[in-house]
Amino acid sequence: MAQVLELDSKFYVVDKLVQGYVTPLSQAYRTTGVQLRSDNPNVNRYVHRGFPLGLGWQRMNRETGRGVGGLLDSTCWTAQGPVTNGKLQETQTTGGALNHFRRALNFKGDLWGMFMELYAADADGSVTSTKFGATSDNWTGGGTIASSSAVVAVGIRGWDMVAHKGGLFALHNGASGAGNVTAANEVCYKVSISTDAATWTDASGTGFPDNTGTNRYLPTSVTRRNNFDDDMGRLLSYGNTLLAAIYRHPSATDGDSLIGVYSSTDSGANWATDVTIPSGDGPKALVDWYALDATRAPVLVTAEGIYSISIANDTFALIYALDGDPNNGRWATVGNDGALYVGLGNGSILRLAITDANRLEVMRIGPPGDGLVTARQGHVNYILRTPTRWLMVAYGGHAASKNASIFMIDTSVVLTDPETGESYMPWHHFWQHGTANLDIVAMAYSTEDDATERLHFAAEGSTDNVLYHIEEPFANPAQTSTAKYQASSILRLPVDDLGDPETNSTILQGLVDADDLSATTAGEYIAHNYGLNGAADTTTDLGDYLSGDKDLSFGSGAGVAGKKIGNRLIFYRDAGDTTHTPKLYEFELQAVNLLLGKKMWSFTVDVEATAYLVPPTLVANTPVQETIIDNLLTVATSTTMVTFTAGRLTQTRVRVPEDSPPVLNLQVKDADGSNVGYRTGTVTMRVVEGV
Amino acid sequence: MYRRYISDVTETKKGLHFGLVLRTADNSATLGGGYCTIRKPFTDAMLETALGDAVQAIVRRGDKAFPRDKERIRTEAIAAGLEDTGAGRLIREQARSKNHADRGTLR
Repeated sequence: MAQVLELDSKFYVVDKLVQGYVTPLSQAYRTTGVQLRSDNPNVNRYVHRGFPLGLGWQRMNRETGRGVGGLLDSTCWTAQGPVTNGKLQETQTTGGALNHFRRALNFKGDLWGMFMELYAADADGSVTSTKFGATSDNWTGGGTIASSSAVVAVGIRGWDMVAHKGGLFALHNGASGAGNVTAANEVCYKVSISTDAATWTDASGTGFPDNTGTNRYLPTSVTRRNNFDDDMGRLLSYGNTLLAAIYRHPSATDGDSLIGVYSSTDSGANWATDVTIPSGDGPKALVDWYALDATRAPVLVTAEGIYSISIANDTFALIYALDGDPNNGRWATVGNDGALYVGLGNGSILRLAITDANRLEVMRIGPPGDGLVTARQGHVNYILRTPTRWLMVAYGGHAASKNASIFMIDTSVVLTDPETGESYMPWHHFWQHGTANLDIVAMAYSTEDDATERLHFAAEGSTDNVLYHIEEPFANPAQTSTAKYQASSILRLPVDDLGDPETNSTILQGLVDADDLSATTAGEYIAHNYGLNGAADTTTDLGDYLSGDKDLSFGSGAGVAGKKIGNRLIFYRDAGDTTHTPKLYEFELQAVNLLLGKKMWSFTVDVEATAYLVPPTLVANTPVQETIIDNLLTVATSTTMVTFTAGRLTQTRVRVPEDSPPVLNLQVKDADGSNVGYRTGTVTMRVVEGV
Repeated sequence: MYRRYISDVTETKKGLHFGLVLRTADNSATLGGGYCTIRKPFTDAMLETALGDAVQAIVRRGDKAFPRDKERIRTEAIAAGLEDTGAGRLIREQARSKNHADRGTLR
């Protein structure tokens, strides 16, 4: 019985039909970011040895490398060294009138904080300076910067505090010292000085605008509340000169929407008016930086722009315009690299550098990549420089379902997004508030008063601020045994496409290189959850990494098939000892890509048998054998796929591969001097599926 | 050369009361300051002369040249009765400008 098959809607008699697979030529390819190690050709090894890119990466693209080495989200320590639980905050004790924290700074060997009493219509108020005590983690002592004398409905606010020459200077409203704030002077600014942070006296000498008849620059709607984001005044110690920037609030009796900048070279005895700059909101920051000509200058940051001030000429100049968002520039800071870091109301942070005269470089340093997860989005509340490469940023927490964070930004590197080309600096998690819609209002760094490094910070509470600190904030976990850690922390990796998001991989196992894991879940361990193909990364609990079990199999050993996977590792600290945390050095995922071959058929067409049994449609003046040969050659050169059927095979579409052209074994029949004859014989063909 | 900063100007029937701070020409150091009173009547030229005298007094005596108790001075000025002849605006102009003309008007 002849073997007949259909090819491109025509039929052919063949001698035999061979079916096979076209095997892929490439090896399991090396994925970007993998450390150099001996290849295991049986599996692909997806290794995470640290997360230098930090937060903000939703997906990993294994072809371009984007997101590889980054994190979707994390509450773990990932800044340097092994990944551990996040560092643990300790609550500080405040009391009495220490309800709202403004800022703290080192002065004469101690850490002094400026605190304000909670405003109440039926109670007196105060602004005080208080010292941090490491023995009891409390704030005590100090003195009253300003207060009212009796139960009067006046509000007393502190705006800023700096150390200048031999004194501590405070900018507030009202009058200096205890019991002197009245309804008349409540709406005026005042500068006070103390040489011991306990006794405060007036430093608003001649020239300072505190006339209760003409300098009523504050409305009581501002003085009689405790909003941390009321940016009414800033101080700056600029060499021999003390500067004060105060907002002449438009709702105040004598206000005119101008920021007045005043200076004193004799510790507040006499003041001069330097400049006035219009603004819809108050001064956000007053820093010692540079003018555009690269000379040193005081720089004022407002919602509308960044201005340099010339004290010598009593002029100002715009360095960089902003969009007027009232959340622009709050507590902008000069970093250790000499650049000015400015938070914007839209959530970005700008890095400005004056690299030469009239050469301003502006770079957006983040949030990097695809941005932060929804719960951590927001804008900057406070920026703090530290004596390390880390710039600390209080961020977010301004709305329901938003939790405030402290991020560490690595200012020692500038990285580039491999797909967008955008430059950024890595952001790492430092701390996150457990309750939504509570801002972190201010931070401070100090080693006072026991030479222990601490990052101090204040968060909103139900009415009062709650003060915390974290000891050894920048310590590498591998180099300290006394740092304290959170009870549990999460590490969410970006969704991994395993090299090809369009085809399934068989995901086999997860492995960790981790120290200090316990033998049971009663101690330190790491749990592994995951989700496939877009499912939440909490969908499936793979199991726990313990000291005796550092590899976990997917699918009970059979593996699981997925085109992409999201992994979540949950770090658990020892329940009883806050210093015991897992230390993860490396996380690895092993999988194989399923590169299924295309089907292939090879066969030899008998031209004579085809002409006899299943001839094609005849072409005038053309022997049928020639037509058969032409039809086969047409298939070989077709630019589209052609149909193919053999036996009960479901009709499919095939093409002739370039490396396997038809082989024709032909004879010429019936040819003589007056007749060209015709070709016949066999044609050997190979066809493959298109996909 | 000095730089004059005038602030907190109050004009009363008795005269003109204001704060005066004197800085070096480059604004880097303060020579002194205090609250001056220029008694009426005075012409514009007399006002400029008085300012010059006040400057010299601060140059010689610093913060001791003039009273510094601003609250007392403000209270006394208000008690004397406020007046507005434009002299307050004029002296604010003279804070840094030397180009005003003598209008010869008694105030």
